[in-house]
Amino acid sequence: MMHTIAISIVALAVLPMPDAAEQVVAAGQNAEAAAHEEGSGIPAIPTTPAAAGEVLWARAFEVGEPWASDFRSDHPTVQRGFIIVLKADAALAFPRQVACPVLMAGDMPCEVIEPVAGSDFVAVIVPRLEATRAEDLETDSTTTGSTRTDAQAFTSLDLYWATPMLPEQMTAKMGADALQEARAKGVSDMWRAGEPSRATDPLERDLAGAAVPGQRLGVADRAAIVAIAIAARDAVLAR
Amino acid sequence: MKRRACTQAAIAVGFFSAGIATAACPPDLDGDGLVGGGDLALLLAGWGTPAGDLTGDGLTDGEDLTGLLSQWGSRCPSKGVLPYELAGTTLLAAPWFSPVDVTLQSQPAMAAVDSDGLPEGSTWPMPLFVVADRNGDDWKPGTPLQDVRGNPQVWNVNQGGRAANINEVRDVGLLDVAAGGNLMLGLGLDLVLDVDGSGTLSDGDLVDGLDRPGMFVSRNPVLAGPYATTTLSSYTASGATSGFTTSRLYYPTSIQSLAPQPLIVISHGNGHQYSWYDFLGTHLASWGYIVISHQNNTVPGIETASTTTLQHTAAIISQMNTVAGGAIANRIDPSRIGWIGHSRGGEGVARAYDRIVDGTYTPTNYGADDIGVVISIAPTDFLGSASANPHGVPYMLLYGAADGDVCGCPDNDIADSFNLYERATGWRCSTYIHGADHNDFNCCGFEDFAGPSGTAVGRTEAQEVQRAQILAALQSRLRGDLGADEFLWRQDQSLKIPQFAATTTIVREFDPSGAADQVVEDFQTNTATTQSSSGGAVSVVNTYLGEGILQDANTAFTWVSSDAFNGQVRGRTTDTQRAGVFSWADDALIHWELLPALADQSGQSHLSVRLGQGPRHTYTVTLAGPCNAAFRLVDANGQSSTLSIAAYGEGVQRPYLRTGYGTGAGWQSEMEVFRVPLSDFAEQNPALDLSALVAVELLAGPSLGANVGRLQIDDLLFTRP
Repeated sequence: MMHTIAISIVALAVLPMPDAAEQVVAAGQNAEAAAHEEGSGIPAIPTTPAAAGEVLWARAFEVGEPWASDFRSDHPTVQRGFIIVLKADAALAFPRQVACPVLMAGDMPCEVIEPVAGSDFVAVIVPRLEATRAEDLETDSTTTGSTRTDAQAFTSLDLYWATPMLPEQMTAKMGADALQEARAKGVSDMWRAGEPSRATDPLERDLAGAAVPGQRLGVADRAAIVAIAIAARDAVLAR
Repeated sequence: MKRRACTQAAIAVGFFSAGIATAACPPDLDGDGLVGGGDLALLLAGWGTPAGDLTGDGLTDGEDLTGLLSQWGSRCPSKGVLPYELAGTTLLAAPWFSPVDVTLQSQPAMAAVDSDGLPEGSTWPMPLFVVADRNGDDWKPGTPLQDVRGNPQVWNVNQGGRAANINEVRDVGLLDVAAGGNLMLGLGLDLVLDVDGSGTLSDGDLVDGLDRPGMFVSRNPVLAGPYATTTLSSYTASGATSGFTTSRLYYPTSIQSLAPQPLIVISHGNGHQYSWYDFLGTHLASWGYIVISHQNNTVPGIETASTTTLQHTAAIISQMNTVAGGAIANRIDPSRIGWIGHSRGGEGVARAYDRIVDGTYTPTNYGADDIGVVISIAPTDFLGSASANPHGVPYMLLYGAADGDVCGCPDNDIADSFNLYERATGWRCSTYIHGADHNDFNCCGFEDFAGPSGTAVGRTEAQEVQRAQILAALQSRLRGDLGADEFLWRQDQSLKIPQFAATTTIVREFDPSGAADQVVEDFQTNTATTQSSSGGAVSVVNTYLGEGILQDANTAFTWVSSDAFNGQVRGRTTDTQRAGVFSWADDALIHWELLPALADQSGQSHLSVRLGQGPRHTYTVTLAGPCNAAFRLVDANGQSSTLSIAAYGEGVQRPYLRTGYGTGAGWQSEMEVFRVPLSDFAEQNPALDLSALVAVELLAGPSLGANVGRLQIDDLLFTRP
């Protein structure tokens, strides 16, 4: 059963919640100014598969209204997962119009939220498609159990950047192939190797200081998750 | 078409004196335009005398009566007023003047008349009237001419043809173009050269504007329109994808005093924001449009982007009575919708239309017929031929040659915006700006300029072009603004917008795809190089005309002889658009025979063709500048007339000198439309019979100022506005 925490977005008080779009506008303008100064344009796409980068903040979530993800062609239903703020290679995360490297969690594309050109801070929804497994469900009744299970699930993630393409065109088979390739190249677990203090138990490291660190967020829908993700990114960015 | 107009195409408005039979219609004895009782009465009254003679034997008798009765009830063509293209613009070379309709309000309006073609009995000097636009039955005989400037101006017509009689049409720039809430760019007017000086419409007067305005005194489309605007920074669209429900609204502040207005939907690109198009939203709202710019779901891809476009369009239509406190209640006309998308959003709007046409998406409160125009700014082409396809909807492409993102590169079909343009089968136009990059077309995107140092036009100018061109396309397709199209095809030297720097190169294509088009050669059929798509023979002198698919054959722009269409990144392997290509190092000629079905072009207005220099070809590099060419029309009597395209502007532009993708400089091929008025051919040689043409010829070479050259050619046709 779902354990919904009665917590509003506003109650995540330390996460600043301005108009998300306006925040991104400002970030975009800054990025443009920086690009002018450096005389740089669009960075070349790095070789993929590539390591995801560093997870700076993460929270497990569960929504009351599952959604059909647009990030894979079979539109799998997402009810649970993680919100993360990733510090990635800006060239990998760069929001191009042409095909971009796809951030993957296992065989499923992550949902990158409102990427900002030139920024290496990326707000991401990591779907947990395995979340209907019995062992996950039965631990939901206690915060401790939930957190530990979430933490275990999180730390075992294969997180990596796959070949550039549109996520909506990726099939489950293509996702599986991408995972296989990433594991073969040894890049899918590199995100855990950089700074163990941050990576080994990221759910305990709620950098934005949410009310109940490490606790799974129970919110209404994807829109709330998106708002939290952007606020988290901006909060991390502001530190 | 002046010559044709004066000799053949008289208009039946019937100004004849009773008892004077016209040569065109002898039984119309009373000159009322009909063969009837009045004519019979006159014939009988003249029985036995020459008065009612129709046969020319000098006697009114039974033979004349039989002739009259055989045409009983017929409507006779009358001499009437004569259609004549008076308004126009001066040219840099012969024929020195060319008929066009649009003049910017801030610039001199010009008109010309050929003294050699004036009707007999004309008296010089003669008054030129500028009158309010009228049509058809409004051209009644005896109507007093009322000049909107107060008084007509007097023309002292000189001997020496049209070139000797080019005059400014005075004071039209002072007229109130906005009067009466005019939402067209310009004020439509008619010109009348009152050849008999009577001050009334009468037989033989020359009229420019019988069935549409003869000239437009136009406001500058770069500048704000007549209305103050209001912006609602955000509202929530019902039914849109979660996380993408926010939209911004722009509208004329006085919208409730206007009739329902077209709806414009702006769909941004990947990594862009809905709030980045204020400059465009407010501009269009100042011209009366209701505009939204919405959150666009571009990260997953194009399908999702198209969905948000479709959803937000439906949402604002259903929410118009409540959004903004009811400010736009009932003011959206859902039958006039324009979609504008940028980059992934630019492909998304084309895909959105495709989904409606394909039947895979059915909007609840509008349909495909309600989408009056789709505009893509530097679109991607992820989905390819079948799905990134505008089909027959009026389509506009706006694109920058220095785009560092959707680059027009030869190794990436996704980055080739012209693919979508080539797939459009209806009315279409493109504007390609040298030195403009991808994010010049929004307020705040990152710098992505990719081009030679010192060639960046910058955001300010790129957006001036953007505002003007998009407004013109919307006006044309959503308001039926007849004066808008010329902003989409005339060369900058011909229709000069002051805000555009003289050093900025803007390359335009325009294809109205009218049902009346007479295609000589579009290379789509009859792929043998010796036969045109219209079936006529094709022959060449000192050149070779190759044909092929509009695709660069490899992944580089380096010129190699095995890649005849080098630089043509306008299609995927699944696309079928074809063109021709030729080069020369001496005076060269291509001759297209016109079959009898194409002989009579007297009803058309222009010869149209699109041409582009071959990027990085050795001849293009050697020429190192705009390329001239000429077209010649040949009739069945051996008469011909030749016009140089350089007379109308700078000729075919040199490709943008961007480097990369191999050796040399020069980016993707830039096809450019040239529309030469047929009346200009007739002006050059009055003996040319436009109703009996037998050939079109293209000439290029040293005689035309280009010792060598390489041109790609397509869509050679006769058209009319």
